[in-house]
Amino acid sequence: MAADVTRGALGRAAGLDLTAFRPDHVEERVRRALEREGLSEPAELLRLLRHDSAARERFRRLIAVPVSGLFRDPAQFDLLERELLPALLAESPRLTVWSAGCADGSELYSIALVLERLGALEESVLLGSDLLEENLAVARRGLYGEVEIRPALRRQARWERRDVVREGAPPGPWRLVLCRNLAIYLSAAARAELHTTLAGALAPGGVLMLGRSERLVQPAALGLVRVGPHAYQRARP
Amino acid sequence: MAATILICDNEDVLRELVRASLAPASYRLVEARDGDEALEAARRERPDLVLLDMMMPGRSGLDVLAELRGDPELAATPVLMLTARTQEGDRAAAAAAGADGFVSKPFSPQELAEVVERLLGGKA
Repeated sequence: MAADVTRGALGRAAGLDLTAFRPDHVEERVRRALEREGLSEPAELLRLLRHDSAARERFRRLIAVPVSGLFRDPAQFDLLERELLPALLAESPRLTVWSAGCADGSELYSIALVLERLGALEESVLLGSDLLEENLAVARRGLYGEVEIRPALRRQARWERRDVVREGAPPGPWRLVLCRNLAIYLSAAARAELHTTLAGALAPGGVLMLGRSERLVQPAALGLVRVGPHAYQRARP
Repeated sequence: MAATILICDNEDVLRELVRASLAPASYRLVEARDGDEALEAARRERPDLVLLDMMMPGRSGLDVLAELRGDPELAATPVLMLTARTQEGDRAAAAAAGADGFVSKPFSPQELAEVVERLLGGKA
């Protein structure tokens, strides 16, 4: 991209803070947007984003990558269902779960299903937050191809728009926080800020689950200990 | 010897989910991406259990089930159908056609592992 000015302008036109994302990620996505929209220059994309709300939505989704899927990375859910959730529920049957950067909501519904199996759904609080309102609309519908999320599970989940990096965590504390595959698109500074926010949102003994290609560089500095390949627990006082 | 399980689903993501769900039990897994492949694999491998997606392009899960039940060599092989909520009406048809069990999508890895274990009757 020609200059940061263009990136800033694109971000303003799209309603996204592009400086929070990794520059190479933004560049790659802008290239892809140009290709997809049949344009040759960022300036043309800027004009399009200012005038065409559908193009704006397409661009936002390109940048914020709402990749998800029910039980994506099954080994992580296996660890949750076999070990981490039973341990949390043994301590107290009321679980508070926050899916940070929940994309299409499939991650939170996967957790809801596991909690139902463990007999803990009705007492639990489930919140999904995402940067994009359009993702939340998909989450609320709870329809993934031929798979439809049952009303009992849908009723239990709440959804809210939130830019975690800029606005911080929703009021908690949370006993389980999932933030998988969001940090990988962020700049180093935004990523560090995000991890601090997530750790701070955890209740004592609460568990943070990151994506399978993510890890905390210094969990101890955040008051966390590693309890699984990509899972961390906040120390109890 | 480890039980052989034939997984038939046209979606890569779902086959991956099934694979990961059953990985801890060290079954021998054979995969098929459509009904034709499933029938061919079933005749070749003589699996101990077949996991069959209800909705596939081409031959549906119900078609494959009917073929399996019509083949004397495979008629007794347990078949677990993977169904979506939107196809609940097909469940009755599948039960009538001789399905041994159902798992609704979405399912948790642990849930599938438990059902499979039950259907195999302890054969690991």
